[in-house]
Amino acid sequence: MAEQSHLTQHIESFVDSSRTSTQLAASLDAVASLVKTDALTIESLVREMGMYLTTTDNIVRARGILLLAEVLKCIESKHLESATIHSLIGFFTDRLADWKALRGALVGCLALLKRTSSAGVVTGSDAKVAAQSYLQNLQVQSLGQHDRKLCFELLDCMLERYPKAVAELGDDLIYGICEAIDAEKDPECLMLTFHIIESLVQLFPDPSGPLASFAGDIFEILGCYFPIHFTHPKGENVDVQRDDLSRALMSAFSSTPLFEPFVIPLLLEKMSSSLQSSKVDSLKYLSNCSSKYGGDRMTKHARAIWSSLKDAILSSLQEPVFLSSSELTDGLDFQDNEIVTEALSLLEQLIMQNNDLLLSLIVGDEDVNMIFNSTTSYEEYNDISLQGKQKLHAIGRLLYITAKTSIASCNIVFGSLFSRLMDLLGFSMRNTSGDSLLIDDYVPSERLHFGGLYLAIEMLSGFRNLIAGSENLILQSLSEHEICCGMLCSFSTSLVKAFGSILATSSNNGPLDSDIYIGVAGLQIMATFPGDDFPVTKYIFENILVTFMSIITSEFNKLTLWKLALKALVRIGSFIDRFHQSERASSYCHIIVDNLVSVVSLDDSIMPLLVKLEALSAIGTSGMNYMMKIARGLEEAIFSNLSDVYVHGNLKSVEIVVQLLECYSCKVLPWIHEKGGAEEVVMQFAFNIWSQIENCLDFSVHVLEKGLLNATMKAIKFAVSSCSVENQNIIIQKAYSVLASNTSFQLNESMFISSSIELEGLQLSPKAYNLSQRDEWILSLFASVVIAVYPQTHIPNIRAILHLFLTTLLKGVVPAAKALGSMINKLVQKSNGAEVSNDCTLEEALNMIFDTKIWFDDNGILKRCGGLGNSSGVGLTDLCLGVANNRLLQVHAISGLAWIGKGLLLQGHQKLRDVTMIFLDCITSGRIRGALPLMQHFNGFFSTMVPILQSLIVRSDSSFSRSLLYRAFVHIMSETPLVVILGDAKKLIPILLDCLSMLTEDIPDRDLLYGLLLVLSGILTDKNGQEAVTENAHIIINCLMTLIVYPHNTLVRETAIQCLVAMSELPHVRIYPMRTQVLRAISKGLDDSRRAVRQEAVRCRQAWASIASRSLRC
Amino acid sequence: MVSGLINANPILYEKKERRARSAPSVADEYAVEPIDQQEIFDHIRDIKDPEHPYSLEELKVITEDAIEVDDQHSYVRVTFTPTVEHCSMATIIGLCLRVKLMRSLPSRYKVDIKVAPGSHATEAAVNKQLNDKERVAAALENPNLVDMVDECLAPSFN
Amino acid sequence: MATLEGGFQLREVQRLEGHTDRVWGLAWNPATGNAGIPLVFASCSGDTTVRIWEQNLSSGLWDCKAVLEETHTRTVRSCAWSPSGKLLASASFDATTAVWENVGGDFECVSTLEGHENEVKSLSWNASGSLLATCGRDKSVWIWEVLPGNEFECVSVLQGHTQDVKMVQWHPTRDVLFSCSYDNNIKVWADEGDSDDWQCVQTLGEPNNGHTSTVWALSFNAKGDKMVTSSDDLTLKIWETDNIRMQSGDGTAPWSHVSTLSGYHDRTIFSVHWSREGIIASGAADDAIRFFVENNESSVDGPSYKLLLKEEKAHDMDINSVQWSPGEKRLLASASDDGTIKIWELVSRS
Repeated sequence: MAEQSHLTQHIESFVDSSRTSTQLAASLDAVASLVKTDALTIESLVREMGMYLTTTDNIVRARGILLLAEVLKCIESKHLESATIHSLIGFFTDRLADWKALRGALVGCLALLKRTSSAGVVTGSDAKVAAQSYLQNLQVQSLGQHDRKLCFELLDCMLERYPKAVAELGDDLIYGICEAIDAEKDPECLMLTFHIIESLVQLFPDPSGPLASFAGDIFEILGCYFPIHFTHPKGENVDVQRDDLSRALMSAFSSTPLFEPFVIPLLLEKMSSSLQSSKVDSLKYLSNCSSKYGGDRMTKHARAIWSSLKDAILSSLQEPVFLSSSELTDGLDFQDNEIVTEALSLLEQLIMQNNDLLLSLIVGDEDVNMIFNSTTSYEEYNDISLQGKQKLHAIGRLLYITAKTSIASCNIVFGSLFSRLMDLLGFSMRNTSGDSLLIDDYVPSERLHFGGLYLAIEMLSGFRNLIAGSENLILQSLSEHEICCGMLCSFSTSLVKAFGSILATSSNNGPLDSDIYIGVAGLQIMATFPGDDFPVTKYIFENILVTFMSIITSEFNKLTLWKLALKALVRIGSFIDRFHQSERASSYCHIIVDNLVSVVSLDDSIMPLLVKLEALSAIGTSGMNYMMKIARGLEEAIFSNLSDVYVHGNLKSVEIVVQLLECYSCKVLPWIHEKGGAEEVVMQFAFNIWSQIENCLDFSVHVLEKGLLNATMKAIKFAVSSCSVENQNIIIQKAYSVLASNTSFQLNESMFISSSIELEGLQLSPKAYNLSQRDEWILSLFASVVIAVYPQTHIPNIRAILHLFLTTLLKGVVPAAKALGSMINKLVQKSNGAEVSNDCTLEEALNMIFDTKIWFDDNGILKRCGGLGNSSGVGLTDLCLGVANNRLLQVHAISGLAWIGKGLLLQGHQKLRDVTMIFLDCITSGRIRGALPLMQHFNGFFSTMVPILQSLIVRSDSSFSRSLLYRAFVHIMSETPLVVILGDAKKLIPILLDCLSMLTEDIPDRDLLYGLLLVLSGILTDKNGQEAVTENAHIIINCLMTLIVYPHNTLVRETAIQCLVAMSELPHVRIYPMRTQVLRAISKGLDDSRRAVRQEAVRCRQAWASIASRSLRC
Repeated sequence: MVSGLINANPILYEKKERRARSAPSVADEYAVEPIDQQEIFDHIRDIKDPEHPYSLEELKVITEDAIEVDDQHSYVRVTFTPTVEHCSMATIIGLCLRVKLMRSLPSRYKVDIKVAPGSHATEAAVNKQLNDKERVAAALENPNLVDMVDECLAPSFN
Repeated sequence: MATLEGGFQLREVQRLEGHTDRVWGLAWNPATGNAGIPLVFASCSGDTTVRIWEQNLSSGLWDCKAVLEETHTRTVRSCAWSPSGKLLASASFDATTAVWENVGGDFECVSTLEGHENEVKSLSWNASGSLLATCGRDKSVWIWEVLPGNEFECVSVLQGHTQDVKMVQWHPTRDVLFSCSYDNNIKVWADEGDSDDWQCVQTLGEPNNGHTSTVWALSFNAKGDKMVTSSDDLTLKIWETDNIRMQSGDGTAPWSHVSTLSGYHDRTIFSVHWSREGIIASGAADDAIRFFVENNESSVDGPSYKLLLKEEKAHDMDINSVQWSPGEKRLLASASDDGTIKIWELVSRS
């Protein structure tokens, strides 16, 4: 009984129109859950609601019915007795007549008709009755948007769920639907209506059925929406987009062939519209419809469609762009605009439906023939008039598509047009075996006709793509008897000859881009027909390769020609690769790859090395095995030159080897690494470098200049880093042995077996304190290996190495410092769980680094290094602080420390704190400003730094040291990831602002200032940042206002203003007091000397002005 | 507000694509970029027509050539062309233009807003109103008008 | 006018900030500036306030003594002191006119005159302070009689202008009212035979060499036989009447055009004011203040006027009002869209 009273309450509140939407939702849920939980049966609910459903008070009745309907919606998956459903649907069906309570009725019917069989569904006959009542009672177009939408959903649902039942209504249904959807304008509703049409026509497929008579009327309604023109106000977020509508309308158009007599004429008419979009739509629709309607129905439109799509292409294609980007595309394909693309795909679609009529139209077309006849009248491309060029381009595209679509169409094109073209070009049939080419009597009659060759290429590439595209399926069945093949075989010799000669002629008198293009493209296409010896013979193929090769080796001063030839070769190579043409592959290898490799190694002065290398590395990219060959070739060259350097100190070889290494490590290695699976080669390379050093024991030191060293290090780094741990171990072992045996460094293993206490014993021979170039060379190479290896890789005799690096970094060997940092870094990673393979722990390493004592004589010359305990030497730390009055030593020490710090960063090891403190001391002592930029290494342990800095800043008395501390702070801040900063933004903002105002004083700081400002804006624009900001709103705004006029950096002004925009988002109570000030300040921005700043200022002014509606100026 | 679909294609003009400006190189940090025709145009091109959901640019109510600017003497003159001769909205459009420029230009600027000769029945009257700053000020204290203007300007601030 | 010969220069005495929107109008308190009473003036602004400024006798500079706010809800377009300097009236776009009484330094609003349909744009007290005229966008001019106890009674509503009325101004000595309007005309209103039966006795428009665009302001010379008007047509016009006939009590003595000062101004002239010693000051939308005096070289066709001095960029934006101060010094106050007021002194260059 309690429920009863509750129930009545809920019902009461639901029908009470004064309630808020949330209250309504609540009461609905309450009632629904009662029913869900079987606390209340739907029948008894209906009984309870009795008078609410029938009262004459319109509002109450409407609400009541709606409540019942909504409840049904909530329980659609709950099983109901068929009797219940029957009576319910009956009720709502009647209510459809009650327009004052319509909403509920619609929702109710919909909820019931949507039910799934498991939960009990409405019977067909009931559905039919509902549909009838719908058709009789509803004036859909007189309703509001929401109700209209419901109506359409209901209709849609009926057609989907109860096709048979509603189909029985026949003409009434069709007529009713027409009435309902006529002149609908709302996008969401339209999506539904279009779909309704689609489902409707499915009901009456019979061409003589009821739909036939209505097709015209329906389309009258439908047609006026084409082309979709969407004018929904921007900003209003509409989930229906123009494309959705257009797609929906399209499938409605194509839903039944019965529309064909109305659709096609409309589309053809709209194609002549001036609006690009409607042209494109018409084309899209045409191909969609023709595919749905089928070839037969389309035949009668063929003529009209052909002429209008031809016009479309003719009118929207520009003249062909030759080498605009010196980019040789496959075949003669140019960036077409949307119209052209659609038109061509329509054409393809139509030909696909093998519309012979269409083909005959194309072949017999007057424009086509006009072009053909005119081809002979022009020699060079530039002789042709602009319209001529455009026509040429357009017809070319058309023929390309026609040839490419099917064997049948291809045959027709070749049979009629291609053969005719050959005659025009003066080619004669010749036997298919190309060997006659050797003793060829054919010499191009006079200068060849550009237009002719152009069209030939279009058709050929169409043909080529036809077979290449179809995964050899066609190729198998392809035989001499196919006209296109016959043609190709007969003329391939002449064609190749012709293309070749064009390039030849073009090379004597200054080459015309258009000629080069057409020559290269022609040859490329001829060379990229699938099949080893058919339809294009191996002989011809090789001949093409030779032609290109000779261009590569002798025409390198004609840049365009050379580049295009190279690109063509690469394309050919990768084509072979893709189609696994074994024979052609071998020809390619020995004609192109082998030759190039040999060219590189032989030292001729004709072809510059860089050019050779460019060609070589490019060719390599066309296939893995080619690249392998090339890699080996390069290696040989590298090593032979290196030994020249080592043994004879040949300076010339230095330049050469540097270039070779560059190419190897920048072009070859990355490509191989990306493709994967060729580690052996790489590993070998690295290994050989070392063995070679080993083999020439005393190489002449005087030529070891930086360029070569860097190049070698770069190569080694890349090689090693792309090896597996196993191989890395092999390499580093090798490297170590070389380091140990071939240098004056004494890395006596025995010294380091036991714990580090005994380090005392370590010494470097005095000689080593002034490093020989050779030692530095080897050391640097070794360092680059160490940097490149994985943490898991075993570094032999690690303590000695650590020590060695420590010592040598003090001598200013930067690679050593980096390597030390990287070792520490790897140890950190290991100590965080990565599998251990070195017996040295991070702690040990750090102790060694910081406790090792160093001795130097009075001139600060490093004397001896090593040993622990309280012996008279000093530690790295002291050096950083400049205990040895040796500037150089101090700088080396600090940079070393920086790299170690960087190494520790990764995990923010606590040792960092010490490292930082040392730095801060360096800074505050003001003795070494050079350390400042290094601060950025320390952003990683930001949270440690900040408190220290803050306290220091507070304590620091001299303004000088304070400014240094600020700068240190800035360096850290600007390198720290935003998330970290957001962490304690509250604390940071005040000091950040101090920094900002401090930096505004010095022009040289302007970039620093900008960096810091970016941090601030980062905080402002982040949700979490904003709370922190709100507290300091006042000071931040003041600071930003001063930056609006900062004269020395536009970006600063721009960013400051953007920040102000962000500030305007804050709670108004906070910022309103500042409003007038900000507006006054920003007005200066409006008059800034820079446009970018002014634009931001406008936005900012608006943002702040609109905080209060009043006062639009000031 | 007009919403939904218009089937008859209204006279729409392709938008002029926004010309990218070559950013001055870092070298001349202090270089001056004077306010020019295009900049003014960019300020007003996106203003929405009070009646249609189109921008004044799309409706060719304003074009770049219809703007005279002299940055040295801080003077701008915008001539606009109402869509129809008796366009009741001409004054509103003019008001929008004036307000947008008022909010976008340095205060030193003098702005004249004019209807293109022969483009409006009551040309003189409209011009006189648009350039009477007392009337403009009064208009801008009228909440309804301000809302209307703000709605039209909204797109032009992004 | 010998004193006016020789060069002059304008000295900026002070720049006053305080208003947060454009300053529309200014009014010097006529009862100040002599007998050791410090000069006082009022300013009104788009920020809906009126501010009272008083000179500090020791420093010679002005401070804001009071801000009259929370009475008007929209722009205050203009303000005017009663001849006694006791009352200050303010006209606002909120369609009301407020009258403030100065009670020992602080001002209280003693009455609000409602009647205009919309924006009130200008007001003026007659010489005796017994009448107050107001005008506005509703094209009408209202005349209020001041009754004891700060009661105001509308005695007449004058229709005649076809567009909004920009300014009203009483003749300095006689109860004749002048109004100028957006309809390009200046109208003269007089009370035919003391029966509160006010009539338009003359319309000065294009036919009588009048202005060809909005007339924004007008001002009389000390004697009251000459009047200067300023307009959107970029000219100043001088008008005169037969003083004898006027003295003889015939209020309807007609006014006629004397000369037109054209080619001096580049943009709308919002304000013009004629000093006691005959110097005409103009303030315009070209941010400049100009001074004109009568040209002594007697010319055939009546008196001509010459430019005495031009102050370029007197303000950063339009100048809405220029007003000569009472007292012996040649002090001028100017109000501008840039939100500031400036006090100037015109000094001879010698």
